[in-house]
This record gives sequence, C-alpha cells and structure tokens, in this order.
Amino acid sequence: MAAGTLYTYPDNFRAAKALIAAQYAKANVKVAPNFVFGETNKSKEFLKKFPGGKVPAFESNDGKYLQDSNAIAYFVANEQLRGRNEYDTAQILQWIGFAEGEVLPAACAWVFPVLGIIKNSAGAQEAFQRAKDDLRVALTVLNSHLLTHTYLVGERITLADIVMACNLLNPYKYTLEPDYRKPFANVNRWFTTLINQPEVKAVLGDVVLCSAALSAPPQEGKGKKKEEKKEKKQPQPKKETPKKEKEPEEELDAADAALAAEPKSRDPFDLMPKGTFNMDDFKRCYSNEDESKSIPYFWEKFDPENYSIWYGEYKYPEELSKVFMSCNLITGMFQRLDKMRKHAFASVCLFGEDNNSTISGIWVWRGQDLAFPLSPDWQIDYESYNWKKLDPNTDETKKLVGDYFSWTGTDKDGRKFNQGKIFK
Amino acid sequence: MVLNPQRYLTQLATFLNVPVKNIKVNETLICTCTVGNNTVKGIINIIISLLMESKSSLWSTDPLEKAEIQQWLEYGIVYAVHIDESQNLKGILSDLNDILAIKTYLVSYKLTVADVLLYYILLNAVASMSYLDKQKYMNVSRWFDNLQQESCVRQNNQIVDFSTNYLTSSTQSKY
Repeated sequence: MAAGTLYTYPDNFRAAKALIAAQYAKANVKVAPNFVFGETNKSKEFLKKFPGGKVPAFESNDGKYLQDSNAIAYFVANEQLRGRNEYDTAQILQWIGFAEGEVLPAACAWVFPVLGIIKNSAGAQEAFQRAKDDLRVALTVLNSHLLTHTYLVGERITLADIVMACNLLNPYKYTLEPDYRKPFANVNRWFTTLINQPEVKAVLGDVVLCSAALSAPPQEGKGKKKEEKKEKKQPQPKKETPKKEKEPEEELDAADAALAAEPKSRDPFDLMPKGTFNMDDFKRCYSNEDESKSIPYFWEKFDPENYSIWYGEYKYPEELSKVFMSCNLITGMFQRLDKMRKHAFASVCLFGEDNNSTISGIWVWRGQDLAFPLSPDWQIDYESYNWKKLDPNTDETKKLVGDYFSWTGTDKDGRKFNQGKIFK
Repeated sequence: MVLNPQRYLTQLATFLNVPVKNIKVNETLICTCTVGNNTVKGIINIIISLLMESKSSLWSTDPLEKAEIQQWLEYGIVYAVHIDESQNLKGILSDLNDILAIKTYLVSYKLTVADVLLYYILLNAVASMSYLDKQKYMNVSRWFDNLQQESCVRQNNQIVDFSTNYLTSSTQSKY
C-alpha cells in the first residue's frame, strides 16, 4: 500500500482527490507540514524531485516521486477505486479525461474571476458567458449518464467520481446557484451523495452548496484611471454598490411603503443646517481624482460645524470567516442604509484574511450626533459596531482619514488591508 | 394478496448472516420467529433484532437516521408488500421514483437496511416490469440496478435486465 507525503497548499481541490483516494484505500498519506506555496515548491530541493514545481506533488516513503493530482490519486487508491477490470479502468480514465478537458476549464473560467483569483479583464465578460455555457453542456452529458447510473463507472464509487466531484467542488460551492443547477437533478443527487460519504467528508469537511451565485465584478464605468487602480486592490470594484441600490426600494412591502410616504421620515438630515460642505462635490472629486488630490480637497472643504467624522469598528471580528462573506456584510449594511447616502460618506475596510480579519471604517455625515437613531431604517446594523467620534483637528484623525480613504495602512493589530468598500 | 414475509425475511437474514428459524404468521397475521435464542414478534422487531445480532453497518447510530429507516421499513411492510396487486403497483413505483430522483439511497447517503428490504420486497414486481415501465420509473430502475450489482444483496436472485434503458441515455455503454 502506498504511503508518503503530499505537498500542497491548504484547501486545494486537486490535492483533495489524492487525499480522498487515500481515505478509501486507508493509505497513509500525510500532508507536508510547513509547506509555503511559492517558496517550498520553488526551492532547489523541491525542483530536484519535482521539476515542474507544481503542487500537489507526492513523495512516497520509499522514494518514489509523482506529480499531477490524478496520477497521485491513482497511485494511492485501492482496487475498487481503480476499477475491477480493464474495461472499468478504461472508463474511469475516460471520465477523468472528461473531468479535466470539459468540466475543469469551464469551471475555472467561471469560478476564478468570481473569487478574484484572476482579474476580470476586457475580454472576460465574453469568456465568462462562454464558461457558463460550456459547463452547462458538460453537466448535461453528466446528467443523462447519471440518470441511469448511480455512479459514473460500475455502480461503485471510483476515481472517476472522486476526480469529477473535486473538479465540480468550487462551482458547486460558489457559482452553481439553485436555478442554474435545477435542470441537473441527477448530477446534484450524485454530488450530494459523494460529498456525504465519510471518506470524502474526512477530507472536504461539510460542503455547503451555493445558495446565491456570486457574480464577477463588473468592468465598466467612467473615471477609468481610478477604476484600474482600485481593481488591483480589490476584486469587487465599488461600482457594484450603486448598482444594487435599487433593490431594497423594490422590495418595500405595504408597511414600509406607508412609512416612506410619511413626510416626516423622508430625510431626517433635512432638519439640520446645510453647512458649507458639499457632499456631492466631494464624492465626485473622490471618484474621479486620485486620493492625493481628493483627500486635501476633503480637508479644505470640510465643515466641522455641521458635519462630523466617525470611526466605526465591527464588534465581533471573531465571527468573520471568509473574506467574501465579510464583504457581503459590509455591502449589505450599505444597502440598508441607502437613504442615508445623500448626506453621508464612508470608506469601510476589511483587514486580514479568511478566518482572521476585522472590519472598520471612517464615516462622515451631516450633524454632530450618531446618525443611525434618526431613522428606524438605519438601525439594523449599527449596534454591531463600536462608534467613536473623531476630532477633525488632530493629526491622528488626519492620518486615519487618509489611510481609510486611500485604502492603505493596517488595522490596530497590524492586519494588512484586504478590501475596501465605499458608501457614497 | 400480501407478500409472505417468510421469503423476504429469510433473504434479509441470509444477507445479514444471522440464522433465523420458525418464521410463522399466525391467524391474526402476527409474524413470529426465532432469532438466536429469542422468539421475536412483529416484522419490524424481527428486522431490528436481526440487525442487532449481525452488528451490521446497515443500521445507524444516528437517532434521526434510525427513525427514517424505521419509517421505510414500515412503508415496506405496510404498503410495498401489496405491490403484487396491479392497482397498487403504479402508486408505489411513482412514490419511490419521486423520492429517488434526488436521492441515491432511501436514507442518508449510504446503503441501509431500508434499501435492502425494499429490494427484496420489490424483486418480483420489478423483474416483471415492462421495458416501458422501467424507463418510466427510471430513478427506481437506477436504484434497483445499483443494489442488484452487490452480489451479497442479490444472492441467488436473477439479475433484472435494464439494458434497454441505456439506449435512451446519451452514453450507451453499460458498466
């Protein structure tokens, strides 16, 4: 039985194939500890064993070396997984070929831009749509096969199922929303059966199927220079926020509509003196100019009499897990605060990475007090944050505002800037 | 007509490798038999004591799964045993077909005694199904075919042929 060490970065769906096969075969395959992607696999020692420098890579205890996840999975598997006869094995290879050639390219072209692994470039929209269509074709083939077959080959779980399921793992987690996957009932049945096998669960943990598709960041808008720069910093440009603006309004039910109709609740900021600071002008400047211009512009025009600057920090950073979920938390809050937009501006940033992150932001609004109690619509999120009013005359405040508006710096524990969202 | 429990209980006991003796159905339709040294009354009790005796993985440790399995055993011995009457056939098959559209096995994501018992109960009915019906209840066919490929489940029963089903699917190979 094969025993050895697997080199991989964590949560690698390719490495999962080998690890699942090892679970079935009860093969002793350990993941190399202290593996650093981009360092370990570029080291001389590693390249000597694995000239490609790619992971996953496998080193058996008796000094055999293998690259490529499917080959490693085959090596550490048992007879059931490899097929009971030549014909079964040939069919397993056939489906592995399908999984690599038809499923994976489309899956990656769809999932990677969404996860921000590759940049959304000019031709991406077209490629994105093509990937969706290609994947639909592949899933249709799979679906009709799985109508009459419980598993891909020989009525038993084989490598073909493991490889296919791993290649479909990210799409099922992130992009195959319920509407898209509905026509593929047989594939869904097969996939949920697989991910719930104890041997698979031991490697993948609990897999939660996508409930709403993440969309790739859109790629247009004026103020091109700004846009390009932001793009490097964050996969989801801020243009997304205004796009979603309209949704909450459409969802108003009768009670909300009645509330909205009351003149009193129209805009609580209207009761306050206007002051000299023109929010719209500043937002325009911020959107179209570099921060080296817009931040001095802010301090030049800011009216401390009638406006205030606040620091808001999320109270429960230990509950934050995936980066994209935290970003949804921020944009969700922005949506619920929609009516505050006219007289408020904020830059809210996420620091750190998955499972180790904080959210904090700098807010500017009309008036000297916390704005959220002014309207019942605004009170959903603000209690989850600690609010501190900042004195606009201190250097500390100047630095904080500069950092948050230009998306630089770290949080107070030194976590690096990850993504920022602008409320405007 | 109701299926005689003797046949499917014997097959299940053989599959679980537990000796049973004296399967009897008395005049009030209560089934008794001897499992090990004990006399057990009632079909579901018999099945569960068979499982206990064999320490089989077909049973479950999870309370919810246990409840679901029992529910299917009950379905098996209350409804499915009437499958030999033609007016019941359609209802039972379409019930199962709907459920198996999104599930590979009846309970959880693995083979349980619920699947195996139903296989023994449905055996004759499925074997005499027309090709058209096999195609109509495709999910039942797929589930049944998966079960019968396990030789210890099938025992000496005939393999039911589903090969024409595969003509309709895009990939024409079988196994």
